[in-house]
Amino acid sequence: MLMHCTMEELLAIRDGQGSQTALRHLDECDECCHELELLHQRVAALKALPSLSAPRDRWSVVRDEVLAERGRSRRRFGGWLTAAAAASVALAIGVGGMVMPAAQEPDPLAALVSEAQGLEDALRSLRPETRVINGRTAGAVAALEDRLVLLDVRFEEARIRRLPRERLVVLWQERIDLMDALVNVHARPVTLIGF
Amino acid sequence: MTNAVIAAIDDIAIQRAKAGDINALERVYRAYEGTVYSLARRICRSPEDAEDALQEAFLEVCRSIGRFRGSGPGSLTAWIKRIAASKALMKIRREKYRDTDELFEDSAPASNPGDEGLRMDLETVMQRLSDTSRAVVWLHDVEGYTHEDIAELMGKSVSFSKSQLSRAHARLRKWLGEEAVC
Repeated sequence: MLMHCTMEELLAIRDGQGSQTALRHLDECDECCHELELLHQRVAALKALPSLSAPRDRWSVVRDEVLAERGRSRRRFGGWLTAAAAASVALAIGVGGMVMPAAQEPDPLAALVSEAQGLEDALRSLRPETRVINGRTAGAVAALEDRLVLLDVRFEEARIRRLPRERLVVLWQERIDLMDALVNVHARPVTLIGF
Repeated sequence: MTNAVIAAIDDIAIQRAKAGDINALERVYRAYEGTVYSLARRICRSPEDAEDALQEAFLEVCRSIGRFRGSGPGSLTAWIKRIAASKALMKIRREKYRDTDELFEDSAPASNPGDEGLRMDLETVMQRLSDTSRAVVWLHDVEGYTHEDIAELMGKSVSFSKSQLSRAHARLRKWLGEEAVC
């Protein structure tokens, strides 16, 4: 065979997919063997090129964008979540009409709802959207807000499944604990780390 | 990136990252930024484009890691690299650089054996390839992607990927001459 292997044929041979004709030619042709060897050397040299480092750290940009997206997402659902919590209160009071403890006894659910509202007022007064917080605090805030979002989903489930008051009491207690932690995080003064 | 750094991303860290923990996401970033940037830099024409691809890749990683179904650092590496390749390819498509291999083919210095001053090194000739050819060479020959993978990533046919690879190697052979290894 006089025709030398094309580059396509050499690549196919390298990848174990060479035709019988090309393989037979390779057995007899020193020039094509040499070309195949050069191909192997080129690829080995490419694999040996050093890894490269990004000239600038982009994590802060990525982190800020991720946290901003989470904030936007929460604001989008905020109205619905408030409605879900409000609906659960209405449900609690509605159902409670049948099983409400005696009027003179304190209602634990009403007390919890009132306490949660107080914490929401406290958080609003801190105006967290205007505060500058460091990365660690931002992470803690995001984690607490994520848990609040999940809790509000459970409130909605409770409303749909008409869960008993005892279960709502547990949910409201969880909400208060999370809100309390969130207020504490925002109320804490920002610590600036000097270099 | 060293294996030790990759090993630092264990299953627990991956699970935390999947749950949205910002500190765990940063660990993922720190462990893979070198891998992602290197891959992007080998595909993109400029360091700035590679940096943009790095940033876009990690934004995508942070948004989508909750849906990542693999287990262990190995599959996370493959998943992140695929996102990085996709972002780098998007970058070169958006930038619509001219295919410079047509421009440079005739003007490339001849590689006379022994004429070291004129012989181009591998990095230089890779930059002279068209963006598409360079990406195919890197993804196939270095990263180990199949022509089917590359065709899917590029939205092209398998035969397109094969012909780009063969064309690129023919040019590299011509430009590098006998001494392919630099």
